[in-house]
Amino acid sequence: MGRPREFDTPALLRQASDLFARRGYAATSIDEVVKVTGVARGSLYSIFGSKQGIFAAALKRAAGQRLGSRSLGERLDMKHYHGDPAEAASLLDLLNVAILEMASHNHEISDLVQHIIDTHGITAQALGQRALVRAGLTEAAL
Amino acid sequence: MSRNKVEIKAGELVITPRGLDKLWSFTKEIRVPLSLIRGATYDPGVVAESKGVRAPGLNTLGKKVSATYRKDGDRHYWNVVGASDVLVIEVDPKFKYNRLILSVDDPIGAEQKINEAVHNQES
Repeated sequence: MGRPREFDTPALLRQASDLFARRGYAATSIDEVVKVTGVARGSLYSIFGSKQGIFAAALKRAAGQRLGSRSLGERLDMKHYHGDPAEAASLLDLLNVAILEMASHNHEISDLVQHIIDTHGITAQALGQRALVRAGLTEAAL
Repeated sequence: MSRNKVEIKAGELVITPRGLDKLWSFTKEIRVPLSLIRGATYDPGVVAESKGVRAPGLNTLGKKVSATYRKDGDRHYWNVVGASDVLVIEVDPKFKYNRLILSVDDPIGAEQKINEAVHNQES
């Protein structure tokens, strides 16, 4: 009766993260999220309330991943990093999308971005470096 | 011109269907407390989905829809023309509708305005 079916929320958020990181926020439609995750539109709205709700949950999941004992900022400054670069890169991509597209006019997202940056010690250098790597304009530092 | 005027007034979202849509959908105005709004999303793709079973209202070959629909126990209010400029507002099930699907002017601006108002009201 109208309640969402059981499904794997972390997997859904990982897939949504990949989509937002690749396409950005505005260019990601709910149609795309439905297609990539296989979760019905009605269930997405019931669980997350909105596209912004999906994005915020994806960002929180990415920030909550095990990122090791050292801060993410420190680790990204390391020349030879042997941890999980995919999770770190995914978080930085989502942060960059949030900063460029949303944070200037959206307090829920700007508060969340600030909290994650403070918690993980993420530097402007790390964000900028990752933006260049994502654009294929420099080699990965990870 | 869009079919609905959407405004935020004194802690409520006020939706006013324009012109004859008031008649078709049997709705003069919908007022939703911001505390019951879970989020707004610009989502033109929602129009292509199955709407469920129609309660009183109008549906002219899918292009113009002004009606209440029931789907899987949910209650959705539709007032949409065409497939662009569509805003989906998710509402707490305590309200008479738990989803509003509306044609509005500037749906991306409306999405941002509503989500920001809901956040400000919570914090």
